[in-house]
Amino acid sequence: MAERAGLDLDDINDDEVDITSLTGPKNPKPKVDRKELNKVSEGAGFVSRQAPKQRRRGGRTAYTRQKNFKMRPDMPELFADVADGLGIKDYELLEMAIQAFLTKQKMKEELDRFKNIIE
Amino acid sequence: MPTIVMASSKGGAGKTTAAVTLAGELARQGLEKGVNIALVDADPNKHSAKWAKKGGCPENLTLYESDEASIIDDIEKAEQENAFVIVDLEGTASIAVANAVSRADLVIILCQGSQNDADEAVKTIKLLRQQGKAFRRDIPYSVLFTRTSTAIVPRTLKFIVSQFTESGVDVFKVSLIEKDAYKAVHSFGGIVNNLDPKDVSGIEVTAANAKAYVEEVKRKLKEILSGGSDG
Repeated sequence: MAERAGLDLDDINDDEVDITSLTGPKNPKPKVDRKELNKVSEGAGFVSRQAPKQRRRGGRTAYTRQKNFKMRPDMPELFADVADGLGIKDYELLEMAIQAFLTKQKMKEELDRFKNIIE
Repeated sequence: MPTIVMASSKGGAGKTTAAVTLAGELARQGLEKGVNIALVDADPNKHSAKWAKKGGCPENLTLYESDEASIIDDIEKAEQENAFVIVDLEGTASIAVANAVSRADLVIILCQGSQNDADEAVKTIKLLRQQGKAFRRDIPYSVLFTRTSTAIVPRTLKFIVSQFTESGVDVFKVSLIEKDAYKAVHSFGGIVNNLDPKDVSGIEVTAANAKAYVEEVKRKLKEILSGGSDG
């Protein structure tokens, strides 16, 4: 007569492992050379997914805000030609124009604000 | 003081479920014994981090958010400050995965019962073996099947398990079953045991499954820490 199969009761009778018994000193894990690690990883098809950091070109400027306004036709070209002629940027020309205007009009309070802004 | 890394180069394999279940249950067990648990989330999607921040976690669980560039340093910092470190990673074949497993005492390779998942699991096993050769340290690992049915064991799953075991790959006896309660912890926070039966069904079965999984992890760690396994 065939023998009856036993029940798999191993797991039921397993005692809970005391968590504190696993908190002893770690098995030593040698430090690995990171360049060598990357080489091995890439060889196994595990590659970097992080985008390389973009290198910032030039210094950070103070000109961080934008302002759009309407002009008459051809005025943007004239503005650009004047700036190019002076060898300066558009935003620098605008500042020079505002300063000249405030000075000519003797608008002292606004001129002080202007100086505070560009300091 | 073990570090356990959840690895799979495929998304949706169950890494986050395995990570938060292990972290939450170990924290629950360690709460009154002064055992602190670290959960390191290096997955850019930050699902583990969102779970930890939702509240309801034992207070001895600390979250460390990490990325590819800092994963090794973050694991080493977490190791200094905690008794257990559990690392959740993104589901891609990335340097972050490779870096994290280099610091692991146990790598749990998550796998569903499909050929694609099994192929990706093999890819991770090859990485571990190559690292082992390069740095002369066997990295212990075991394959954990996830999203399994309590009712049936499909032939594909049986075949994959047999392929692994015949090749000498260690496979968990327990698998993480497909249960709503595992998903519900991400909605409600905390651990399965603390879910409200009014909100979620199958809590008891899921809690028993989670406990069986955590106990098997602990038995594997005990064996590894005593020098009885080399993966």
